[in-house]
Amino acid sequence: MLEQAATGDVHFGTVWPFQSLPTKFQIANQISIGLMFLALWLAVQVGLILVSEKDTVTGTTLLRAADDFGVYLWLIYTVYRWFADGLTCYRVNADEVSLQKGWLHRVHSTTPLKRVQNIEVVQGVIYRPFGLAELRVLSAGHALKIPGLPVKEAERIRLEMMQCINGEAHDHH
Amino acid sequence: MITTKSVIVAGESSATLESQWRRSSFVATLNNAQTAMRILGRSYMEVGGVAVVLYGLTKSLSLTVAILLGAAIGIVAISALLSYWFLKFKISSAHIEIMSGVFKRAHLNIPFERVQQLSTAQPLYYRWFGDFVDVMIDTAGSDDTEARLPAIRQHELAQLQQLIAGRPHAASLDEPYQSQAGVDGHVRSEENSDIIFKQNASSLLLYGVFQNKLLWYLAIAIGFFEKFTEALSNIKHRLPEQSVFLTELPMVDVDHITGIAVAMVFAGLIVFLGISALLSFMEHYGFTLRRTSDGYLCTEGWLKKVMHRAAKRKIQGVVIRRNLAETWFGRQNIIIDQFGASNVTLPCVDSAQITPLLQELCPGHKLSSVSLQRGNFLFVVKNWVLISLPLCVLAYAFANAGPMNDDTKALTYFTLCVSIGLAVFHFLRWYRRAYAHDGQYLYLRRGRLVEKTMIIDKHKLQSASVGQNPLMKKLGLCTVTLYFSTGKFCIPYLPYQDGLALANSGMDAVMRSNKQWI
Repeated sequence: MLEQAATGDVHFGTVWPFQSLPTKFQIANQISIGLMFLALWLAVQVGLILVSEKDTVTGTTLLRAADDFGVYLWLIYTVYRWFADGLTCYRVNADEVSLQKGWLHRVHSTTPLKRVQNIEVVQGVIYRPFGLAELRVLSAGHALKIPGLPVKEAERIRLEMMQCINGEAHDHH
Repeated sequence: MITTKSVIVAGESSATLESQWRRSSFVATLNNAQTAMRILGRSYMEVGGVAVVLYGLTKSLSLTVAILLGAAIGIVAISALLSYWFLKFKISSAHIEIMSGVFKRAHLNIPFERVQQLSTAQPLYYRWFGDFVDVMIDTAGSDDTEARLPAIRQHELAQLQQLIAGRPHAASLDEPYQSQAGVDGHVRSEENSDIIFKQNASSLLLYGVFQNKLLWYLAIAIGFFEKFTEALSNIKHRLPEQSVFLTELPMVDVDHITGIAVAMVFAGLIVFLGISALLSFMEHYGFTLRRTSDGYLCTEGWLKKVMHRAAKRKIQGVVIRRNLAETWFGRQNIIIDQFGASNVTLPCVDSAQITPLLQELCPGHKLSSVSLQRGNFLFVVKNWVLISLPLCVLAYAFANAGPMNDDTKALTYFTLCVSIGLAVFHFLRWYRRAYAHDGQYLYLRRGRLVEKTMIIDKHKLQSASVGQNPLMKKLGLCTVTLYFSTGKFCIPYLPYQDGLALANSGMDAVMRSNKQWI
């Protein structure tokens, strides 16, 4: 069962015992970033071949700049995402579900269980070989996504949250 | 034809309904045609593309227009007839079934228990052929109208309302009218509700004047002014010496084309404002807001009589909206924000009316006494430094790139205008964006040229987030985003402790409250 929050605890601004995500999550994200940049690099190479046939100066200049600086961009973004993903953490208790993410711009989001409409466990192509899934907590107007959870953990949290929500709904009626 | 059986049981009246599959009245084709025309009108990009291709093939403007018009009329007529032919419905004692769709057939089954509200619309042409209405059915699970029954008669609507209201779980509907009320029973039940707001004709005309897209008109007029004067000059040169135009207006010196052009633009402006006012008057004619057992009922319209409902449990908040002209004249519009149904707008409310209306819609609010707080001015500085300043540098680079020709000048001025425009935009955004809260409500204000102030019950909050970057952390600031079912509200560059207090108070209100948000 999900633990109850202690009396007097606030939702924002307290040093909570958040749970961090496994290192596999960081590795999976690095792979997807790598694949994305590879696709972009291939698109630039194809563009360069096509543009050189038409001999346009502006197009060639822009694409060469993308080709040259793309590698540095990829390196910077990869390092940034490694550290940012390492700092992603979450907390689920009987009252609310919270997520902290980001490195340069750190965001703490919270959704009370009373407002949860639906909970989904989604496994993308990259996550599947690592046994990871994304837990999506849907309320009216917002979706809070906890990425990179082990599948069994995500399913367990989903079941326990549904039990809490159904229990509250029963009490309300 | 729907047949009904009435059974009196212990003082209550209920009806069981037997019905075969049937189509609505043929009059529905008119409304279908109107819908098809609206869709065609919105697809102006595609239509424009087709027009360009046609003109390229035919090389004749008149032939292109004729083909396009013929095709449009054909599409509208066929679409209207097919929509009418392929829509059938059946009403039974427990549910309504609707089959619709030409290529993609849909079979909808709506149990009466799921029906939350019925709204109606009655275009002018429906009244010429009898007393028909379009009925929109809203259910609990739908974000928008679940189903629409076109062109059914008023007495059939009344029977449907009676059936739905007689179901055990349809608690949010209006009380069922008495069976002896007759054909227009549902109208009579509305008349029994309290009228809390009724708008007069002069205010509706003012609303039309305030809501018109005057700035667009002026922008187009200024943008094309030079071409307009050239066209007038060409007309002048083509006129014979003894033309009626010249003799009829001896005071007008035809060499002063610019003066004539300016006069015509202003005349156009007055016509434009007049048409806006008239259209608004016809759209909102007879605007009345009534209190019902489960919320509010709004009726309005002359060309198209519309009845909107605002169920109290669906109301998420109230928005007070006003543009610059409305601010100067002391008027505002109140919008009842609903989840899963269309919003209800109370147009052109004056200062005397707004206080009792807001107390009715948000009892116990303290909007007049709270002090709205803005975020830190650093938000504006950040945007100026990151967006406007680079654009100014770019404009400077264009200006000094080489010899100044027309293209370079245009590029420089354009970049400078965008930079200044964005700087003003960000300043206005900061200036307008403010918040306050008390024990029960959140007061949120935003907008640039159009100011919107929202009063939202705290327990309607869905989610919240607090964000900080390194600069904000150093300066003790944060950004708070509050999520509601009807949208989100972001307050940038708040003092950190104030941001935490705001987010925590919203969350506490959700936890403590036993009220459902819908």
